[in-house]
Amino acid sequence: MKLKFFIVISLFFSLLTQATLIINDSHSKLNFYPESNEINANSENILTIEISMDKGWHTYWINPGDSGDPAEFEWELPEGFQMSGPIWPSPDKIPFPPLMTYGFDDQVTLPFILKSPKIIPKQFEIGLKANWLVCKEICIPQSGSGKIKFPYQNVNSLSNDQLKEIKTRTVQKINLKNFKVISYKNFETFNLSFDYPSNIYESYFFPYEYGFINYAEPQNLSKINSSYNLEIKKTADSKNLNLLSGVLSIKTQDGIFNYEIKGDSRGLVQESNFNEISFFTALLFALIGGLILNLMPCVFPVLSLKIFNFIEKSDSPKEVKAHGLIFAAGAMLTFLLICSVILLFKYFGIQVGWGFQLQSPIFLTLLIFLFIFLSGFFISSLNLNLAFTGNAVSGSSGYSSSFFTGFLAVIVATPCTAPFMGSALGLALLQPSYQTYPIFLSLALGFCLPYLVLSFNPRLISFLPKPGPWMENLKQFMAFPMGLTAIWLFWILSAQLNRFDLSLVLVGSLVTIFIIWLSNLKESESQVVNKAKTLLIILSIISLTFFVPMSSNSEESSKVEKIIDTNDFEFQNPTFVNFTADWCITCKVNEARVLKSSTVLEYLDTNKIDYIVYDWTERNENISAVLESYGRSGVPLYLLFKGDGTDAIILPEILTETMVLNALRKL
Amino acid sequence: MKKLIILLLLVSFNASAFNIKDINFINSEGKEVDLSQIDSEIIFEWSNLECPYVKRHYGSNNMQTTQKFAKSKNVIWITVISSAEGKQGYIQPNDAVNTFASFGSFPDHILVDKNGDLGKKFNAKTTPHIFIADKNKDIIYQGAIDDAGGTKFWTTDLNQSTNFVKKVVNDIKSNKPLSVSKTRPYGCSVKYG
Repeated sequence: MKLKFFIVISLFFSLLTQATLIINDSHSKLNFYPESNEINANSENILTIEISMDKGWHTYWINPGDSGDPAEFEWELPEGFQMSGPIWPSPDKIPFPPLMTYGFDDQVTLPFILKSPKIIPKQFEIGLKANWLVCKEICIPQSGSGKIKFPYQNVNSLSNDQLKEIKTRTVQKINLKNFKVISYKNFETFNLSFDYPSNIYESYFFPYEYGFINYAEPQNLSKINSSYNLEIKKTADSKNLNLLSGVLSIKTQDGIFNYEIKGDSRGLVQESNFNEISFFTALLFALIGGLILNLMPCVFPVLSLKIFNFIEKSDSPKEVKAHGLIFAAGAMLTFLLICSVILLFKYFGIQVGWGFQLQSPIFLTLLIFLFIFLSGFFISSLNLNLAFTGNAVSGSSGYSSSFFTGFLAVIVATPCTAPFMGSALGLALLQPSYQTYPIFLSLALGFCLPYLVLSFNPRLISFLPKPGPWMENLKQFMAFPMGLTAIWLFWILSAQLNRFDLSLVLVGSLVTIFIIWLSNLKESESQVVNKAKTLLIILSIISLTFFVPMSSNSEESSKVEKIIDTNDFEFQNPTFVNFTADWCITCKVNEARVLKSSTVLEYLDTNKIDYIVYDWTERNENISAVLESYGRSGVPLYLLFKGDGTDAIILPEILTETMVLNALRKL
Repeated sequence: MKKLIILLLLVSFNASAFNIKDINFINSEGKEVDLSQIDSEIIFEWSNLECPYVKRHYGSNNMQTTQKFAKSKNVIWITVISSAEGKQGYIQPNDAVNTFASFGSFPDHILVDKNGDLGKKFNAKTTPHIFIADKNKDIIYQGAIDDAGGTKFWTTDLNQSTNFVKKVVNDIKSNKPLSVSKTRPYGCSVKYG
C-alpha cells in the first residue's frame, strides 16, 4: 500500500521527468519515463513504461482472460541493481462474446521499481527488451529493445491525463472490512463478501490466476445492509485452488476504486461440513423430518381435524382418497411456495435462513393472532363452515377445504420445522435450485405421508375410533396445545419488542377472542342487530392491524454477543461457541439439559474454556454468514475451538452431557 | 419421485471431460464425418492461419511436425477454423485443403466452422487450441500445443519446447497414465461471429 501510494505521489511530482527511450512498432509505441533525472545509491526508484497503441487496439493484463498474453519485459542491469514489476494496474473488461479478455484499451502505464546498490557508478546504462501483444480484431506481436543512460537528458514527461489514469487504476492493498471468500466444493460460484461504506454501482473481480473463474459469465453483485456479495462463476478446475487472489474493482459515485484481494485457504471454505451429507441423505432426512412434523404441537391439532374428516367420510373410500390427494397437493404447493420465496429473497441478496420468519415481529404477531384464533375457535361451539375445519358437507367446497387444510397445516408447521432440520434444510437452501426443490418436496411428502397412506387404505381408517361426541370434546381440548403454541411465540416475540408493543400484541389477542365471541353469538331476530354484529366483526378484524408492531425494538440489552467478525472467526483461547435463538426449541432444550448443567459449567470454568453465545433470535447478517460458512442455514450450531488456529470441531445438533464433556476433554 | 431423482442425476452430471461421440459434421470437402465411426484417437486443432501465433507454429514447421507425428501413430487430426465469415482466418471450404497443403499441412479433415458451433461446443478459446479424444471419444486433453505460451513465445525455438500433444499421444499409445490433461491454451482469440 505504502509503496503504491508512493508511486502515485511521486508520479505527481515528476512532471518534469523525461523519456530517453522510445520503441516504435507497427501498431504501438513504448515510452520510458523515469521518476527523476538521477538515480541515487541505495534507493528505490520508479521507472514507468507506457505503451500507447493505435486507436481501438488493446494489450493484455497479467491474466489476459480467455486469450492473449501480458507484456513481458527483460531488463539488463548493471551489477547490484534489482528491478521488480511491473506493478499491474487494474484492467478493463474487453469482451469478445462468447469470450472475455482483460486488458487495456489505447494505452497503459506500467510502473517498475529499480533498487540501486550501496555503491553505484557515476554513469551507467540499463537495457530493456520488451515483447507485447496488441489486438483489435486481430493480434499482432510487438517488440523492441533499447538502452537508457543515466543520468539522462530531458525529452518529455507524463501528462496530467496519464497521471490521472494511473491514479484511478492503482490497485490498493487495503483490506476490505469483513472480506471473505465463501465457496463450497459442490457450488458453481465463489462468493466474495465484504463491507463497503458507500453505495456500489458496479463491481467486478479480476483474478490473477488463469483458469479458475468463468471470465465471460456476468458477476452478480447483491447487497445486504452495508455488506456486499459478489457471485463469480467457477470453472471445473477451481477445485484445485486454495488461494483466490486478484483485483476487486468497485465503481461508486466517487469513481472507481481497486483493491487487491486475497482469499486464503481459511477464508475459502472448500470443504464444508455438510458435504458429508449427500443429496440423497438430505432427501431421506427431509422425508423423516416431514413425518416428525406431524407430531408438533402446532400442527397436530389442525391435522387431527383432518383425520376426523376422514373418519366421517369413511363410508366413501373414493372421496377419502380424493381428499387425501388434494390435501397433499395443498401441503406440497405451500412448501414449494415457501421454498420459492426463500430462493427469491436469496436472489435479491437478502440473507435468510429457514426459520427466518420467526425473526420478523410482524410475522410472529400474525402467527400469535392465528393461534389464539384457532384456540378460541376450537374451544367455542362454533361449527362454521370455515374452510380449514374440513367439515364442510358439500362435496365441492369440501375439496377446496382439504386443499386449504394442507396449506394451513404447512403454514403453522414452518415455525416448528425451524429448530429441527437445520442441516438438511441448510443443504437444501445452499444448493442450486434443482436440488433445493426436491428436498423441500421430500419434506412435504413426509409431512403428507400418513394421510396419503390413510386415505389410500380405507381399511386402516376402520381401526380408528368410530365417530361420536368424543370428537367434539377432543376438538375443544386441542385449543390448549394451540394456546401453548401462541404463548411460545409470544415468548420469542418478547425478546424482540418493548413492553408497550408487547402489550399491544396482547390487546390484539384479546380482540381476536372478541371476534370469536361475536361470531359465536346466537343470531338475533332483529336484522339491525345482526348487521351491527357483522360490522363490528369486520371493524375488529381491521383494528387488528393496529396491534401489529412494525419494527423490533428490544428494551432488554442481551448479555450475549451479537457482534461477530465474519472475516476472522477464530479464537485465541479454547472456546465453546453456541449459536442459539429463542425460537429454537432444540437450542433451549440443549441449554437447559446440558449446557447449563453444573457439570458442564464447572468443567468450562475450571479448565478456562471460554463460552460464547451468539443469539440469532433477531435477524443478523453476520451470524447468518458464519452459519452459512459451516453449511447451516439455522441454529443450533455448536463449535469447539482449540484456540490454536485449527478448524473448529462441530458438535451434533442434539447434545448430551457425556458427549459435550468428552469433546471438551479433547481440547 | 423416482423419475425426478433420476432426472436430477442426469442434470447434475457435469463432467469436465466431455464426450464427443454424438458429433458429426460435413468437412471442407463436403464429406460427412461421424466421430463415432472413427476407430482411433482424434486430435482437434483450432486454427486461424492469419493469427500470428498460428503463423509462428506453421512457419517454424512445429505444427506440421506434430501432425506428422500424430499420423505416424495412427491418430486422426482434425483442423477446425471457427472464424466467422469476414473475420480473420476465415477461408472458403473449397480452398481449405489447398491452403493448408501449401503450408505442408495435411490434416485428415478440415472443418470450416463459420457459425462457431463446434468451437462453442468444445469451448475453444484460442488459436491454436488443442483437444485430444481417446478411442471412447472422451476428451482427455485440452489446452496448448506446447509449453511455449507467454510473451517468450516470440523468442523461443518452438521445436525445442515441450510438445504436450506428442506427450499425450505417447502416453496413450504406451497405456501409461496421462502426464498432462489440461493446460492453459494460448494464442489469439477464436474469431467467432
